[in-house]
Amino acid sequence: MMSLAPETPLLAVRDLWAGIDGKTILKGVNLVVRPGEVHAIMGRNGSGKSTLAHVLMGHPAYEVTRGDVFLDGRDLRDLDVTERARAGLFLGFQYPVAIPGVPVTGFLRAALRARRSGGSESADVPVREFRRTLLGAMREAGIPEDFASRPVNEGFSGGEKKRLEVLQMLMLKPRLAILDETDSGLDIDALKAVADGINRGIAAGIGVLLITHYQRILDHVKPDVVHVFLDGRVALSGGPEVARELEERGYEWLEAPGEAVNPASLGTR
Amino acid sequence: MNANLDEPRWLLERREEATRAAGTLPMPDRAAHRFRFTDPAWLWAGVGTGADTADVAVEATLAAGVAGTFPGVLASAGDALAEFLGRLARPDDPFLAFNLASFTSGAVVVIPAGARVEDPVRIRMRIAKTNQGTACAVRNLIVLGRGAQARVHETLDVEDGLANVVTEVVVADGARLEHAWSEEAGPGAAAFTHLRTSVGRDAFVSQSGLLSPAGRGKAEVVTTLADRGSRAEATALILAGGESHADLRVIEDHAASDATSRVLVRAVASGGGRAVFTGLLRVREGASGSETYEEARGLLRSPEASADLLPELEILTHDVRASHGAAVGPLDEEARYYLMSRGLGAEEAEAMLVRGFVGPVLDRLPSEFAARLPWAPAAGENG
Ligand SMILES: Nc1ncnc2c1ncn2[C@@H]1O[C@H](COP(=O)(O)OP(=O)(O)OP(=O)(O)O)[C@@H](O)[C@H]1O
Ligand SMILES: [Mg+2]
Repeated sequence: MMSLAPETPLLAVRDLWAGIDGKTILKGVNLVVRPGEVHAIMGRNGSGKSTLAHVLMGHPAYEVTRGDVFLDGRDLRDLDVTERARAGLFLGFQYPVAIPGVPVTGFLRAALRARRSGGSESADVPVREFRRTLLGAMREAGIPEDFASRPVNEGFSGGEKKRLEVLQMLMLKPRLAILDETDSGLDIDALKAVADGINRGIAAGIGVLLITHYQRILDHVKPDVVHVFLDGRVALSGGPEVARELEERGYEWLEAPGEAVNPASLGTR
Repeated sequence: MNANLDEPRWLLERREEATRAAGTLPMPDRAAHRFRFTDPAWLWAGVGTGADTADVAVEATLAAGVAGTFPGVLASAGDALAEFLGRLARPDDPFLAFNLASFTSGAVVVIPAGARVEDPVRIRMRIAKTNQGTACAVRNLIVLGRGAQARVHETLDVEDGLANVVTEVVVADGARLEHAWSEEAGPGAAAFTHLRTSVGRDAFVSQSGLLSPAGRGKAEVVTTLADRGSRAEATALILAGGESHADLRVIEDHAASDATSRVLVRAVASGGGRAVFTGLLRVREGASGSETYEEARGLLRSPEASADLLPELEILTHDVRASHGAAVGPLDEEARYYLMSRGLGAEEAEAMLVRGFVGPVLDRLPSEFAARLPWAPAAGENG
């Protein structure tokens, strides 16, 4: 995967500072994801991982006070949420939002239309063809057919919501998918289905930024780089061994003042 | 007032009584829910100024029975008229009294016992711009005989002045009526509609309404569950935008045992619009085994918009299952964000959320009503 020619990173985050309601949460995030790479972000509860995800997606409640974000070399600063999605960014929500009264089918059809062409009617997918694609994708994701007519995420179990997030990613084919704890709260079968789905996405060329607390998803989805998030920034980056080390030692050693951490020694790519 | 000399004696007498009542009854008490949010004076403007006549048309394909308009229908529907007109909605407040005293137009539909009418019967009422601010009274009567089945779509468009429309509906034992109504009033115009229904033994009525005035609109849906096992469903979509004022009152009056009523309301207020819903569930003494349910939700789309949704219970007997709930809130920002994160534009996302919000009542409206709304469902979008 290493290339000698300088290539444009898929995602470049430089010294990103951001907060909400006057509270600074991100304190200088640096992160580079190259096309086709899979990155994992691990870190304590409350360290700012979801905040990073929402700030990248452009959530209007967060205020960016410093830094830059580029997607495929394009500055995201002035793009709203819609424009970022259309530029190829996807967020799998840690807590997917219920949309009362809006059936999965209608929602996905509108999303697909929006993704294909900036939303114009001409990009409409014929109903029949769309239904076939949808039902196929649902089967693959292990989502029962009757979910197609149910309101989005309303009354879905935690695992069902996560499966639907993966299904959306696969249908929308983004450039980069940020998956925020898409592996949390899943039973063994669901974890397998979600991991398979993510791997299909990776095989189709989707770059993945996987936020997780658990080593086990990384047994299925192989990360190129693992980042450790600590108090609003990337404290350490390395290969898959970092995840295993965290599993054994927890996060404390990273904060211990005596122990200097040299990211380079852990082989940042 | 405008009594026609060719009218039958019973009608002249009822008009006389109503005229006296209109002149003597006090205006309703604004402390009570019925007029708590709507000034009764708005619905009295132009009364007695010598009104124009509304255009009323009825469209029906009936094998038997009656479908016609006043005054011609007086000859063909004599008996049913004498039996019911002014008997369900009695002239016991100034608005109902004014209506009975002075109506000059209206439709009468009588479906004979056992008949099944496939195509909806359409009653179209229009008060044109030429009305010049006067008050127009319209009176309708719909009667379904025993075991009859029909659908009625009743629409009111008031372009100017004031409309006062009273529709009396009789659903006899075992009959089934799907009644859809819409009320629109142009800017500066006002509409008052009073839909009074009596539901017989094991009979069923569904009333699906759209109250979307640009001016002022007050609609009243008052249903008496008059006999055992009767069932009533009232759903409504209230839309108040711009400077409009839309006030819906629903009363489900359980007068017999083992009756069921369900009320479902969605109100969307935007701009400087004001939406009001007051819903009274009344279970009278002796109406045991009653089941009644009411749910009203409001969506506020701007800081200047308002929605007041007030359920009321009046339960005078034991052995009743009653529940109600009302909630008003703004658009869910997180839901909007979620949709936008999937590439939908801000406006498209909002339209989708509003459409989802009103779904439970919108789905009950005839497609010809729903098609006029900004978020009519696109083909194939509903699963
Ligand atoms: N509106 C807010 N006002 C103040 N603080 C907030 C607000 N929203 C989030 N926070 C705080 O920001 C911090 C980071 O939250 P965030 O959700 O990004 O953490 P996380 O790393 O995703 O945690 P988890 O692993 O539990 O999902 C937390 O301490 C949280 O309480
Ligand atoms: Mg989180």
